[in-house]
Amino acid sequence: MTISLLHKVGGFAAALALALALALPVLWSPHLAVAAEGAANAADVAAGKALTFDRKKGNCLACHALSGGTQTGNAGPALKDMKTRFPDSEFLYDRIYDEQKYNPMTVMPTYGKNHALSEAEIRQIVAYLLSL
Amino acid sequence: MKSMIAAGLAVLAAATVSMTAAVAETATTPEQDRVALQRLYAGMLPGVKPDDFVTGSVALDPALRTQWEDIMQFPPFTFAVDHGKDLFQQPLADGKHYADCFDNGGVGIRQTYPRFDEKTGQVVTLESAINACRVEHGDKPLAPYRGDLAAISAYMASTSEGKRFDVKVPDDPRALAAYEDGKRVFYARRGQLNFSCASCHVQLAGKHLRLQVVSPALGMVSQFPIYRSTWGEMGTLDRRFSECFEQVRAMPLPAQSEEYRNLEYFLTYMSNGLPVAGPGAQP
Repeated sequence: MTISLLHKVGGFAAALALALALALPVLWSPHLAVAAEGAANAADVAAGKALTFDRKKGNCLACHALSGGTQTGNAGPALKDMKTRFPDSEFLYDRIYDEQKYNPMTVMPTYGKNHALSEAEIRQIVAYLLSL
Repeated sequence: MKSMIAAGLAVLAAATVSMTAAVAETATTPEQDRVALQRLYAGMLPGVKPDDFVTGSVALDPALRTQWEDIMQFPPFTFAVDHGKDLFQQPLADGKHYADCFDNGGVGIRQTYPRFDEKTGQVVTLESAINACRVEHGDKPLAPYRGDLAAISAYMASTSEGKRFDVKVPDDPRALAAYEDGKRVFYARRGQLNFSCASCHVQLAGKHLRLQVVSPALGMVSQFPIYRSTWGEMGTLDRRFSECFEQVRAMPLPAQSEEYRNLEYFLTYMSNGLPVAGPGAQP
């Protein structure tokens, strides 16, 4: 009796596990998640581009050359191959937030520390820069 | 063991002494600062002849130079100089003249300003001296950024054509303190964008911000008062200081405030030896 109950429970558990294993990919489709993330990222990239070009916001083109930008300055390095140069997006975020932490002599504004841009705005700019 | 500790202490003491000496050595004289800064620019911008620094960014960019040469065919400051001469010759409220307030009747003295005034312990700029003269003789001071004050200053600068800046920091601790304060204002970061004057005009001199060529601090004061095409009229150095402060999103200081006067003192001392080129014009 005990053995057969155990057997039954074990069989139920095995069946449940199998059902879950079959259902999981459908319930939590990685494709759906990627698609949702991609849509959010595309929105961030677009917003980030606007902030990067806006003279009252990032005004990044004042100093940096940038693909698609005209009348760009040359005080800072060109913004290209950003994914290769910044494999860690948090590091790029940090550099925009407070570049003086990394280079006390920098002429780059400390955008986050001085509240020239909000944290959300810097995240959007990071999304855009990593798409370059 | 004891001897090791003693030896260690001796090394520490020696290190402390040498560190103290190093700190003392880093305090430079105004003359050392001037030589160092002029040498720095000579290295950064080797194509620029020393006297050409007085034309600012025009000396760094052939296209700007062409524009500037066109502008100088009919210099836009000519009217201001003529108007300033008229004003300069008119009597003040009590019948005295501007000429009574200045050495050599106010002619050919631009290159000696700013000066340190031993009576007040303050730096006196040419513009502050013009207004002090008006007040002393019963008139109201003129507005600091443009108009009549810029015109009188333009006329006085024009009588110093060909002379070279010769600003003195006399052997007086208050004069040295004013110079040091001006140096501090120049190198201190400020504003939401966190720039110092030196961030742009030393570190980025000759670089482009958008299409603007950043001018070097050396020779910067020489063309003032100046006609800037972006203003479409004459302006004083104070006007430019305040504009720069606004550009880095800092609150401008009051015109002829102690800090602006000290900044002008420092900047002009840095340009000692360069010719007076004011009034000037900038594309």
